[in-house]
Amino acid sequence: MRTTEAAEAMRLTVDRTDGDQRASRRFSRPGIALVWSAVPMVLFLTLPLLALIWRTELTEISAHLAQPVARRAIVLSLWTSATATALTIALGTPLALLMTRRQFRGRRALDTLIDLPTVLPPAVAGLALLMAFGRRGLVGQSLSVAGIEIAFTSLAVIFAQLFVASPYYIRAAIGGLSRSSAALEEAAALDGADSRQVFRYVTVPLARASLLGGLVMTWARALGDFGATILFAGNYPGRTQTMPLAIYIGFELDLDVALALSVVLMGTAFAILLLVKWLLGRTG
Amino acid sequence: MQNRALPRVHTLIAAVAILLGSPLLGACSAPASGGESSSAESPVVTVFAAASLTDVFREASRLFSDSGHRVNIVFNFAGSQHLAGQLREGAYADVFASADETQMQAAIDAGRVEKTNVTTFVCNRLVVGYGRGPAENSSVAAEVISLLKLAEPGLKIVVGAEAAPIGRYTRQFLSKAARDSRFGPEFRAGFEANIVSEEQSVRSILSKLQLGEADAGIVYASDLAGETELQSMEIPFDLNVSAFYPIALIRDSAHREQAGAFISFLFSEEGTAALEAQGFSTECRAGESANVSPVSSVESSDHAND
Repeated sequence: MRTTEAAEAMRLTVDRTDGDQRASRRFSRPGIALVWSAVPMVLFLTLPLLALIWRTELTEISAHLAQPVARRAIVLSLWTSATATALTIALGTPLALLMTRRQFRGRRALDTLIDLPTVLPPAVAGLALLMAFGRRGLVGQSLSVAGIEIAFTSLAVIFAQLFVASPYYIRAAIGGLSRSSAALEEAAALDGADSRQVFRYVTVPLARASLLGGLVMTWARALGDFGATILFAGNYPGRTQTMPLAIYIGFELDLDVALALSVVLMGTAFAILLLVKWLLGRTG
Repeated sequence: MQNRALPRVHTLIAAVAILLGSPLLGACSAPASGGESSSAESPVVTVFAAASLTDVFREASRLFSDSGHRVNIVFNFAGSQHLAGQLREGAYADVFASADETQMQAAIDAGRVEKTNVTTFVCNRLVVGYGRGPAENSSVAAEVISLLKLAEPGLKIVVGAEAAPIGRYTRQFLSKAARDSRFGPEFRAGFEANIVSEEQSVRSILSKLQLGEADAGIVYASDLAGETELQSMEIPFDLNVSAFYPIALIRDSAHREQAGAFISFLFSEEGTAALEAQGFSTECRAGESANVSPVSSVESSDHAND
């Protein structure tokens, strides 16, 4: 939820600068006292990240990343998070559409429910997934009888990521889709577009930036998940040991590899956030 | 309107606080229980201890407080490798109890522990823990047969990660088994093929077993002492390993006296009984260190520092 709010805040900032640039320029020189009082927070936020880079031998980073542990973790992280993101589009978009196009009883409860996984500690998410899909879980028990076991597999990693990360996309999609109005869609339909065409040429283009922004956030969150994954999927190199797990386990086994992976994740996250800002900036 | 809305907001805040606070409280229950019997002004002794010591150290700290020591013991239980890592990065502690000598050595190498202060206080052995597990009985004759079952396909086994002491000991057991004529390399290969997760501490292996997510796991004998949900299967002596648990005072401890008193307590009759009641063995203690109180070595190093 924090990130959704951040995205909203970003959008607001963008809207304001676009709408009234001259007005904002008038306030563009903050008092010196204000600048100084902002410094501690900036330092606090940037110091640990700089320290991470400082402790990493950047020249050897590629050598550390080439180690089997790191390579397997990167490959696993990439394909599981990509799958979780694809599933989020496939399963989350209909839900977002339902939320924006229909009024129904319990809509508000559903709306809250969508936000819940993002505020829960990931360990709670992992435990909840175990209780649902574990071998003795609510659904898992029947699945287990049928010979399907999810825990400790790469599928469990995807489940964990989908659970904690999909709400970011759904939330952004609800925001974006509610911007493209039903009236516009009706107009397109009157002009002879079928529902698929309306969706493709009217609904999606209008919401595109929000959808992409949400998607990137979902992907980033999936890439970074630790708690839900380690509880539900366990830790096995090449199967369930994603980058965050490799960092945690590697902390004492090989600090250099852990640091190299951390820097890569940090760099990726930074790039992702820049991308999101750019995408949101284009909507304004 | 506002007056009515206000209590609701408060209720909401309280509910959120309770929701967020309860897992934290759960995680910190060790220091809370350690502090129950001591007053606020009593010194706080921070003990970094291997995850496998969780139950026995909580019990020991209770007995220690009951025996009249006005000390507030706060525990940090985790895989020994995490604790050694935290010590290396400068975390404050008064006492470090590791589940293996490797991680104690790491603390010595990091300059946090003086080698002369290290004493072995208990040892442990490996067992196979299982729930609705692979074998019905664990009689000596059935041992080999049941252990062989661990290499049969379809079983889910959880072990410790390589960096965790339990993981290292497990790998030692597997190497021994691979060299043994009764088991051989194919046992190790089959066993390793069944591993579904490498956990960071013995505690997380146990919870995976208790949840029934895994069929079997290699844990310490002490983990299954008094455990009703799980059963244990012995690993033959010649394949087993002796897990030595070293304990030491941290070099820059601010409470050397109280921390030393806690270590001494573990060697006392009462402390030894508590350790043994939880399935630990004290036979591995060096003859002299059982008599010579570790406090004396603490004091001597105090003088050296002066």
